[in-house]
Amino acid sequence: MNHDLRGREVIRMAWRLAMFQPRLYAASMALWIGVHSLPLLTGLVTRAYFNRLGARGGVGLILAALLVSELVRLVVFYGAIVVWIGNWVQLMAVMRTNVLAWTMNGEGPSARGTTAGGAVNRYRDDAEEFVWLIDTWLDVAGTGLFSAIGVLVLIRVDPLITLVALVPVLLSTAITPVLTSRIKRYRRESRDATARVTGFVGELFNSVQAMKVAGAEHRVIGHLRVLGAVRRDTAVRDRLFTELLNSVNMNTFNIGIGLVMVLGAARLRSGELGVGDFALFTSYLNVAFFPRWLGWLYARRRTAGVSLERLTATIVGARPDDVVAHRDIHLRGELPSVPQPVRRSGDALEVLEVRALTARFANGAGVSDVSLVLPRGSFTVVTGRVGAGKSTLVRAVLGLIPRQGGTITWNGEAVDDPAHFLVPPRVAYTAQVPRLFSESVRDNVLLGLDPSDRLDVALHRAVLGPDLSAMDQGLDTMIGPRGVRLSGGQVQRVAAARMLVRGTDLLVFDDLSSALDVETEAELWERVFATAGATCLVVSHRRSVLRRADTVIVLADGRVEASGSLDEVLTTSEQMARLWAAVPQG
Amino acid sequence: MESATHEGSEQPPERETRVSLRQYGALLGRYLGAQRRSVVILGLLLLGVTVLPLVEPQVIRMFIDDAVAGQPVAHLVRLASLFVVLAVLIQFLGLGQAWFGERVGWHATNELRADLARHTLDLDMEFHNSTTPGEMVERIDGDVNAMSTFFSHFVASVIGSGLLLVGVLVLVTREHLGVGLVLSLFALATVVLLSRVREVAVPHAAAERQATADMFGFLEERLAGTDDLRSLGAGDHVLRGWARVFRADYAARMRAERIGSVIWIGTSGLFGAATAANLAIAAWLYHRGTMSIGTVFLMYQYMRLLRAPLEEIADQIKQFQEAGGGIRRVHDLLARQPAQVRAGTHLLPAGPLAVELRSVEFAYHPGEPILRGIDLEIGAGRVLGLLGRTGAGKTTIGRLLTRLYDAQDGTVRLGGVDVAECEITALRRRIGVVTQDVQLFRATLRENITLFDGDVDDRRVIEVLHDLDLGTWLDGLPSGLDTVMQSGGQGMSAGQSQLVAFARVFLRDPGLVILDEASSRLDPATEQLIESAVDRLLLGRTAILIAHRLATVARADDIAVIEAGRIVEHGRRRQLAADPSSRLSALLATGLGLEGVA
Repeated sequence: MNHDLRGREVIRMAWRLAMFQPRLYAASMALWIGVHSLPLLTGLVTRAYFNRLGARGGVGLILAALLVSELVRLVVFYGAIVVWIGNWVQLMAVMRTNVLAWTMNGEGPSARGTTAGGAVNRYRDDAEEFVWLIDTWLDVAGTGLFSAIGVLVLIRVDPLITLVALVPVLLSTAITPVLTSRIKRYRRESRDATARVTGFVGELFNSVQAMKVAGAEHRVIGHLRVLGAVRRDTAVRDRLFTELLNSVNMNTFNIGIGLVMVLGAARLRSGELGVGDFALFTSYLNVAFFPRWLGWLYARRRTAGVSLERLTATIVGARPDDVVAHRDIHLRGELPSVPQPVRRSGDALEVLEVRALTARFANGAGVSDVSLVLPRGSFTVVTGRVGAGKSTLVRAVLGLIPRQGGTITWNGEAVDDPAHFLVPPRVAYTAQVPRLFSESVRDNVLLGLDPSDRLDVALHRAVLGPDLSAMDQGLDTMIGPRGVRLSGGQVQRVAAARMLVRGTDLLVFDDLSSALDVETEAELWERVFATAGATCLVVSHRRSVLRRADTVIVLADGRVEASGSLDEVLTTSEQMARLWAAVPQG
Repeated sequence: MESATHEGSEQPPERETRVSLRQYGALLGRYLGAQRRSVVILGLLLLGVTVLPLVEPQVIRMFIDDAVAGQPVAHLVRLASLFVVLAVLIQFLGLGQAWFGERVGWHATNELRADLARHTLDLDMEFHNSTTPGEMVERIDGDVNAMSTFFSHFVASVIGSGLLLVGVLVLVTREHLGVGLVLSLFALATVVLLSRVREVAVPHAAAERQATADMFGFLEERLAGTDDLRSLGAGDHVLRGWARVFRADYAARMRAERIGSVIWIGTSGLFGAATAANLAIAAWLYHRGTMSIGTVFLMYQYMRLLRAPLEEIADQIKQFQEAGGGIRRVHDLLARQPAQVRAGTHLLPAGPLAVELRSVEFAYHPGEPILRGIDLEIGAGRVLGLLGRTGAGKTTIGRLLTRLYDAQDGTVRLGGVDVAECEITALRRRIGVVTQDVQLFRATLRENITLFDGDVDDRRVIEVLHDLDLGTWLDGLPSGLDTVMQSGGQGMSAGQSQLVAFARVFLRDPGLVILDEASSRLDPATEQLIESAVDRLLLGRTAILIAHRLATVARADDIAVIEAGRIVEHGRRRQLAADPSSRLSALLATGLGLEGVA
């Protein structure tokens, strides 16, 4: 997933993003050019002050002009900050919203391979890093204009001194790219080290209870310290080289002044050069800092490319263009509406067929050449040992992970993008470890669906009634982050309810029973079966579930070892016989 | 955070605490004190970087005055060279200062991060149940990052700028008392102004940080549930929620930025006025003939020199606000104390631990009792199967034994010792727990199993993995025990993750083992395969097997059935199974019992 963005591409992307609000960006540009170039005026006023002083003239008007130019600069400065920061935050939001929207709604499977904490890091830092490039343009434009006018003015004062004093500036322009490419590399390392720290902190606070019970607190903190030390070393190196770059620019400035002193000594002595002209040189030689901005531009173009690549890589199938595409970020007015799924005639399931499905992870785990047929009203159970690929199979069917081969058809028509098609109102799914969110029970079940009479039915079918009446705020009870206020069984039933409320024909349960007691689970299945047209694809090894199955699919090492009725697979599959026999008979 | 679980027992320390300079100082002293030598070197470099720039304008004055006075060109060139040498030297010292400053800062903040993480880990479960991991990342890393600016930039900049400020004032006063006084007054006014506005700015910066933490907390939770959300077609719902949190963050941010820039503008405006005043006085003195043109230029240079530290201070105010917000939140977190008493004097006896619960009452939330007068005894070395419907309170009993929570009434004894009188770490060392939720770290397999305990022998780890039938899996891994696991267990099934949790307990020698739905994600065949290993684990240990599956408790000596927070049946498994009127028999007889025991 390496897009290897070339510099020109990065600039095109950044420009596209900057044009999200062209007027706001144009205003920012005008204001920042003002901020950077108004000191030209201050320099001229200062020159007039010293030259006039040398000529023994009055300086009252000049000082008044100084005050006015300063006042203007400050007003422009305030505007520049407020206008640009607003623009800046919105541009980051555009990128973040694009990535989030793609992750949640985009075609193809959602990419993973990083922790949620690590992904948050990308949303936070990479979006910011990319927008820094657009920010740098403002400064380069401003300092560029300052430098161009500044040099012209100085040449008019003394062309020889000006040209000689600019030689070190040109030299530093040559060194700058070398340093900046180093800085870029160090910065990347530093970012990776940071992501490891934040990822670990996230993992740590995801498993507080286990760490406490295992008494591993001081050891995980020890690991945090190790990761911290790596991060420190990378950050120090990054900073040192950044400072080195700064000091190169500072030194060119100082050497420039030194050259002006050497070359100007005789002319100053003879009075050809006024003290005011000398003052003008010291103020306009800020030109020496222009290479620094160019260096930043260069470095940030690189880092922006890296950041854009990283953000693009978090989503499967997306191009960098998609990350910077313009979209409404809903800063004002109504919050975005949530369209309700509408059930059409073709959404009723007649038959779902999966042929020769293959989905393998990089490490070789996964499923190969799996076929299954789910006719309307059928009950299919996928079973097999730990690591046989049961969850992988259902997740590949649903398009949650990429597949390398195989076809899926819905009522005979090919499904190219299952991640988009096999969703409500056609299919709903409950993961093996369902994730809930820190909202109320109601919001967790509905997830944006308009409350309807289906809610009560779904809560009933998920056997949540008694639990809800025991909670003091019923459906409005806040369940805490990831649903920690609920027991494991309650989490699974809330997850079942949010699936059932969607009124789909096909229900996919990945091991619903792992936290449910036998009676509750039996009750739940009874109620699900009472639904007309309910078709189920279930991962389970519970006997009571297997007994209900029309078809049992036995997976071993990612392949179908046997499939058929329970009696059939018990006779044809050794694996199944072993699985079945493993449960002591009562 | 919607404070769903805040109404619990703990104090809510989120009240508005004003961060005093003393608190800044205390934090500084604590985290810089340990690296005294580096701090001294840093101080010396800082001094050099500060004092040398004061000399530069003196050289330039001499140059101008001598040039106007018609001194020889060679002399003027020497002065120019001196200026260049000084300037380059300053840059070198500046590099050293940056390097040392950064190291000292990172060292200090890494220590703070570790301390903060440790302190937070030790807080009660009530706290953790009310915060998202994403929010904790923001509070432990984000807030401390804002503080690292405080350590590495702010301290150096502000101390350096302060020194420079004093240096300039002294040198200007030496030239002319009046100008010195005007400048001193100006500097004093600026400092007073800045310290005032700081108080105004800090709460806004804290609000901004909180809004940002909420925004990324929202994001983390949703990203962790991506599959659930996508497969349920809830993407637009997430985007609506995202728009809501972003909008709140945007508003908080713009407010904080506006206030921050007003501070900057104010300082700069003050400076502009002072420059004009300074130049006016200098012009007057020049006309009177008491000041040379070189000295006027010196004044001008010093004024410019003054601009840097003052603008630096103004610039750093924004960072200071962030650090202030960060420090306040760090302080709040550190001030939060666990309600539980962790210390204790009683030691648990060696060997298997008898369990005794007497009239235990417990509720996670007032008015929602989970345990209503539990009496339960398990003899040392016996295995108890604890049955009951979900939400009946099975898991809670385990949490009371490990003191994740403390009983509100009644006593919990382990090996005859009241757990409330045991030191928590020592207590937990004697208990091994496996639950169905397992978090894998993005770390090596070895670290995932030993939980970062470097003292565990590799052979022991491999042996345990073979016992758990993970030998073949281990052999298939590219780097064996050094293979880096993906967080969230990608490429690993939930069942395999659960076996890793078993492995963690197998490595220890607990006196009580609690298996809380520990095999619920294992298929029966795997469960059977690890059976002999589990038998060995339970041998000579007290154990509680919490299950809703009857098969799981087949190896129990005793059975207890819990219903709505009360033990409704307790006895020998065989006797209960033989007694047709027992609840166990009823469970076995419902037909579901075919999966069962006895």
